[in-house]
Amino acid sequence: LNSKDAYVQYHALMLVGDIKRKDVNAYRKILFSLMKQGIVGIAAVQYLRMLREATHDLDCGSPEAKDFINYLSREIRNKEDIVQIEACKLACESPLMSNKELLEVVKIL
Amino acid sequence: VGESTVKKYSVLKIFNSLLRNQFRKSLIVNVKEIEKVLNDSNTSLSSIAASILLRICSEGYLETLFARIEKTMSEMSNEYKKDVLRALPNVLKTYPKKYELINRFLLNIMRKEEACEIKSEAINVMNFEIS
Repeated sequence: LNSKDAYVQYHALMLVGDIKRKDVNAYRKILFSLMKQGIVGIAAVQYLRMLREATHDLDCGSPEAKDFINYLSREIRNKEDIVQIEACKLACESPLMSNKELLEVVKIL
Repeated sequence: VGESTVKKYSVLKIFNSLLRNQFRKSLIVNVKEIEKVLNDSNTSLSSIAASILLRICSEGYLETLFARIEKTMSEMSNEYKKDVLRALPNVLKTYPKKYELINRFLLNIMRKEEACEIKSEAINVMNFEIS
Protein backbone atom coordinates (compact mmCIF):
# COMPACT_ATOMS: atom_id res chain seq x y z
CA LEU A 1 0.00 0.00 0.00
CA ASN A 2 2.98 2.32 0.42
CA SER A 3 3.97 1.87 -3.21
CA LYS A 4 3.55 4.79 -5.60
CA ASP A 5 2.35 2.50 -8.39
CA ALA A 6 -1.44 2.49 -8.70
CA TYR A 7 -1.60 -1.17 -9.78
CA VAL A 8 0.51 -2.37 -6.82
CA GLN A 9 -1.76 -0.37 -4.49
CA TYR A 10 -4.82 -1.84 -6.20
CA HIS A 11 -3.71 -5.44 -5.65
CA ALA A 12 -2.66 -4.69 -2.06
CA LEU A 13 -6.13 -3.22 -1.41
CA MET A 14 -7.82 -6.28 -2.90
CA LEU A 15 -5.74 -8.48 -0.60
CA VAL A 16 -6.62 -6.38 2.45
CA GLY A 17 -10.26 -6.69 1.45
CA ASP A 18 -10.08 -10.47 1.11
CA ILE A 19 -8.25 -10.90 4.42
CA LYS A 20 -10.23 -8.49 6.59
CA ARG A 21 -13.71 -8.23 5.07
CA LYS A 22 -15.29 -10.64 7.55
CA ASP A 23 -14.09 -8.63 10.55
CA VAL A 24 -16.16 -5.48 9.91
CA ASN A 25 -14.55 -3.26 12.56
CA ALA A 26 -10.98 -4.14 11.64
CA TYR A 27 -11.82 -3.71 7.94
CA ARG A 28 -13.30 -0.27 8.57
CA LYS A 29 -10.35 0.73 10.77
CA ILE A 30 -7.83 -0.19 8.07
CA LEU A 31 -9.81 1.62 5.38
CA PHE A 32 -10.16 4.79 7.46
CA SER A 33 -6.43 4.74 8.32
CA LEU A 34 -5.71 4.84 4.57
CA MET A 35 -7.58 8.11 4.01
CA LYS A 36 -4.49 10.25 4.49
CA GLN A 37 -2.33 8.02 2.31
CA GLY A 38 -1.82 8.96 -1.34
CA ILE A 39 -3.87 6.30 -3.08
CA VAL A 40 -3.98 7.04 -6.78
CA GLY A 41 -5.67 6.06 -10.06
CA ILE A 42 -7.36 2.69 -10.30
CA ALA A 43 -6.48 1.95 -6.66
CA ALA A 44 -8.35 5.08 -5.54
CA VAL A 45 -11.41 3.91 -7.49
CA GLN A 46 -11.22 0.50 -5.78
CA TYR A 47 -10.67 2.20 -2.40
CA LEU A 48 -13.84 4.28 -2.89
CA ARG A 49 -15.79 1.14 -3.77
CA MET A 50 -14.52 -0.56 -0.62
CA LEU A 51 -15.49 2.51 1.41
CA ARG A 52 -19.03 2.16 0.07
CA GLU A 53 -19.47 -1.22 1.79
CA ALA A 54 -17.69 -0.11 4.94
CA THR A 55 -19.68 3.09 5.48
CA HIS A 56 -23.28 2.13 4.66
CA ASP A 57 -24.19 1.61 8.33
CA LEU A 58 -22.27 4.54 9.86
CA ASP A 59 -24.09 6.90 12.23
CA CYS A 60 -24.70 10.35 10.81
CA GLY A 61 -22.93 12.46 13.44
CA SER A 62 -20.07 10.07 14.22
CA PRO A 63 -16.43 11.21 13.81
CA GLU A 64 -15.94 8.46 11.21
CA ALA A 65 -18.82 9.86 9.16
CA LYS A 66 -17.21 13.32 9.31
CA ASP A 67 -13.87 11.88 8.16
CA PHE A 68 -15.67 10.08 5.34
CA ILE A 69 -17.46 13.26 4.19
CA ASN A 70 -14.22 15.27 4.35
CA TYR A 71 -12.44 12.62 2.33
CA LEU A 72 -15.18 12.61 -0.30
CA SER A 73 -15.21 16.42 -0.47
CA ARG A 74 -11.50 16.23 -1.27
CA GLU A 75 -11.76 13.42 -3.80
CA ILE A 76 -14.56 15.03 -5.82
CA ARG A 77 -11.92 17.58 -6.84
CA ASN A 78 -9.35 14.94 -7.78
CA LYS A 79 -7.37 15.63 -10.95
CA GLU A 80 -8.10 12.18 -12.38
CA ASP A 81 -11.53 11.89 -14.00
CA ILE A 82 -12.14 8.27 -13.00
CA VAL A 83 -11.48 9.02 -9.33
CA GLN A 84 -13.58 12.19 -9.47
CA ILE A 85 -16.56 10.39 -11.03
CA GLU A 86 -16.36 7.46 -8.58
CA ALA A 87 -16.18 9.90 -5.64
CA CYS A 88 -19.18 11.85 -6.96
CA LYS A 89 -21.08 8.58 -7.44
CA LEU A 90 -20.35 7.47 -3.88
CA ALA A 91 -21.28 10.92 -2.51
CA CYS A 92 -24.63 10.85 -4.34
CA GLU A 93 -25.41 7.33 -3.10
CA SER A 94 -24.41 7.92 0.50
CA PRO A 95 -27.20 8.78 2.97
CA LEU A 96 -24.57 10.55 5.11
CA MET A 97 -24.32 13.47 2.68
CA SER A 98 -26.60 16.44 3.25
CA ASN A 99 -28.23 18.34 0.37
CA LYS A 100 -25.83 21.24 0.98
CA GLU A 101 -22.80 18.99 0.50
CA LEU A 102 -24.39 17.32 -2.51
CA LEU A 103 -25.02 20.67 -4.18
CA GLU A 104 -21.26 21.04 -4.47
CA VAL A 105 -21.02 17.56 -6.04
CA VAL A 106 -23.76 18.39 -8.58
CA LYS A 107 -21.96 21.64 -9.49
CA ILE A 108 -18.75 19.72 -10.14
CA LEU A 109 -20.54 17.12 -12.25
CA VAL B 1 -17.43 6.05 -28.35
CA GLY B 2 -15.65 9.31 -27.47
CA GLU B 3 -14.32 10.17 -24.05
CA SER B 4 -16.78 13.05 -23.63
CA THR B 5 -19.72 10.72 -24.34
CA VAL B 6 -18.55 8.33 -21.63
CA LYS B 7 -18.20 11.21 -19.17
CA LYS B 8 -21.62 12.59 -20.06
CA TYR B 9 -23.12 9.13 -19.64
CA SER B 10 -21.48 8.65 -16.22
CA VAL B 11 -22.69 12.06 -15.02
CA LEU B 12 -26.25 11.42 -16.22
CA LYS B 13 -26.26 8.01 -14.60
CA ILE B 14 -25.22 9.57 -11.28
CA PHE B 15 -27.97 12.19 -11.62
CA ASN B 16 -30.49 9.48 -12.39
CA SER B 17 -29.57 7.48 -9.29
CA LEU B 18 -29.60 10.68 -7.20
CA LEU B 19 -33.16 11.41 -8.30
CA ARG B 20 -34.44 8.07 -7.00
CA ASN B 21 -34.50 9.87 -3.66
CA GLN B 22 -37.27 12.49 -3.89
CA PHE B 23 -35.61 14.80 -1.37
CA ARG B 24 -32.66 15.25 -3.71
CA LYS B 25 -34.84 16.54 -6.55
CA SER B 26 -34.12 20.20 -5.88
CA LEU B 27 -30.38 19.63 -6.37
CA ILE B 28 -30.61 19.33 -10.15
CA VAL B 29 -30.79 22.89 -11.41
CA ASN B 30 -29.23 22.64 -14.87
CA VAL B 31 -32.39 21.33 -16.55
CA LYS B 32 -31.68 23.20 -19.81
CA GLU B 33 -28.42 21.31 -20.30
CA ILE B 34 -30.15 17.97 -19.78
CA GLU B 35 -32.83 19.01 -22.28
CA LYS B 36 -30.06 19.51 -24.84
CA VAL B 37 -28.83 15.93 -24.28
CA LEU B 38 -32.35 14.67 -25.00
CA ASN B 39 -31.75 15.48 -28.68
CA ASP B 40 -28.35 13.74 -28.76
CA SER B 41 -27.81 11.21 -31.53
CA ASN B 42 -26.52 8.67 -29.00
CA THR B 43 -29.57 6.68 -27.85
CA SER B 44 -28.13 5.77 -24.46
CA LEU B 45 -27.58 9.44 -23.64
CA SER B 46 -30.99 10.58 -24.86
CA SER B 47 -32.74 7.71 -23.03
CA ILE B 48 -31.13 8.46 -19.70
CA ALA B 49 -31.82 12.20 -20.19
CA ALA B 50 -35.50 11.37 -20.81
CA SER B 51 -35.61 9.35 -17.63
CA ILE B 52 -34.08 12.24 -15.63
CA LEU B 53 -36.34 14.88 -17.18
CA LEU B 54 -39.43 12.85 -16.32
CA ARG B 55 -38.46 13.28 -12.69
CA ILE B 56 -37.68 17.01 -12.74
CA CYS B 57 -39.37 18.74 -15.67
CA SER B 58 -42.16 21.29 -15.46
CA GLU B 59 -45.77 20.50 -16.33
CA GLY B 60 -45.63 22.47 -19.58
CA TYR B 61 -42.67 20.48 -20.88
CA LEU B 62 -44.31 17.07 -20.34
CA GLU B 63 -46.05 16.90 -23.74
CA THR B 64 -42.84 17.68 -25.65
CA LEU B 65 -41.00 15.17 -23.51
CA PHE B 66 -43.50 12.36 -24.09
CA ALA B 67 -43.55 13.07 -27.84
CA ARG B 68 -39.76 12.85 -27.88
CA ILE B 69 -39.71 9.63 -25.82
CA GLU B 70 -42.30 8.00 -28.10
CA LYS B 71 -40.13 8.81 -31.10
CA THR B 72 -37.00 7.21 -29.63
CA MET B 73 -38.72 4.42 -27.71
CA SER B 74 -38.13 1.81 -30.42
CA GLU B 75 -34.35 2.42 -30.24
CA MET B 76 -34.17 2.31 -26.44
CA SER B 77 -32.95 -0.78 -24.63
CA ASN B 78 -35.43 -2.57 -22.34
CA GLU B 79 -33.59 -1.35 -19.24
CA TYR B 80 -34.22 2.31 -20.16
CA LYS B 81 -37.81 1.63 -21.14
CA LYS B 82 -38.36 0.15 -17.69
CA ASP B 83 -36.63 3.14 -16.10
CA VAL B 84 -38.91 5.55 -17.97
CA LEU B 85 -41.97 3.58 -16.87
CA ARG B 86 -40.80 3.49 -13.25
CA ALA B 87 -40.59 7.30 -13.27
CA LEU B 88 -44.25 7.63 -14.30
CA PRO B 89 -45.94 7.09 -10.88
CA ASN B 90 -43.99 10.07 -9.63
CA VAL B 91 -45.11 12.17 -12.60
CA LEU B 92 -48.69 11.16 -11.81
CA LYS B 93 -48.22 12.16 -8.19
CA THR B 94 -46.73 15.54 -9.09
CA TYR B 95 -49.02 16.39 -12.01
CA PRO B 96 -52.27 14.43 -11.50
CA LYS B 97 -54.02 16.43 -14.25
CA LYS B 98 -51.70 14.91 -16.83
CA TYR B 99 -53.20 11.44 -16.46
CA GLU B 100 -54.70 11.48 -19.98
CA LEU B 101 -51.32 12.11 -21.56
CA ILE B 102 -49.75 9.33 -19.51
CA ASN B 103 -52.59 6.91 -20.29
CA ARG B 104 -52.16 7.56 -24.01
CA PHE B 105 -48.45 6.90 -23.65
CA LEU B 106 -49.04 3.68 -21.68
CA LEU B 107 -51.59 2.34 -24.17
CA ASN B 108 -49.18 3.07 -26.99
CA ILE B 109 -46.51 1.06 -25.18
CA MET B 110 -48.92 -1.84 -24.57
CA ARG B 111 -49.69 -1.90 -28.30
CA LYS B 112 -46.14 -1.56 -29.63
CA GLU B 113 -43.94 -3.38 -27.14
CA GLU B 114 -43.52 -7.11 -27.31
CA ALA B 115 -41.45 -7.76 -24.18
CA CYS B 116 -43.48 -9.07 -21.25
CA GLU B 117 -41.37 -7.17 -18.66
CA ILE B 118 -42.17 -3.81 -20.31
CA LYS B 119 -45.89 -4.56 -20.47
CA SER B 120 -45.86 -5.65 -16.85
CA GLU B 121 -44.17 -2.34 -15.82
CA ALA B 122 -46.85 -0.45 -17.79
CA ILE B 123 -49.54 -2.42 -15.95
CA ASN B 124 -47.89 -1.52 -12.63
CA VAL B 125 -48.23 2.16 -13.51
CA MET B 126 -51.91 1.70 -14.40
CA ASN B 127 -52.37 -0.16 -11.15
CA PHE B 128 -50.84 2.76 -9.28
CA GLU B 129 -53.20 5.14 -11.10
CA ILE B 130 -56.28 3.15 -10.11
CA SER B 131 -55.30 2.64 -6.50
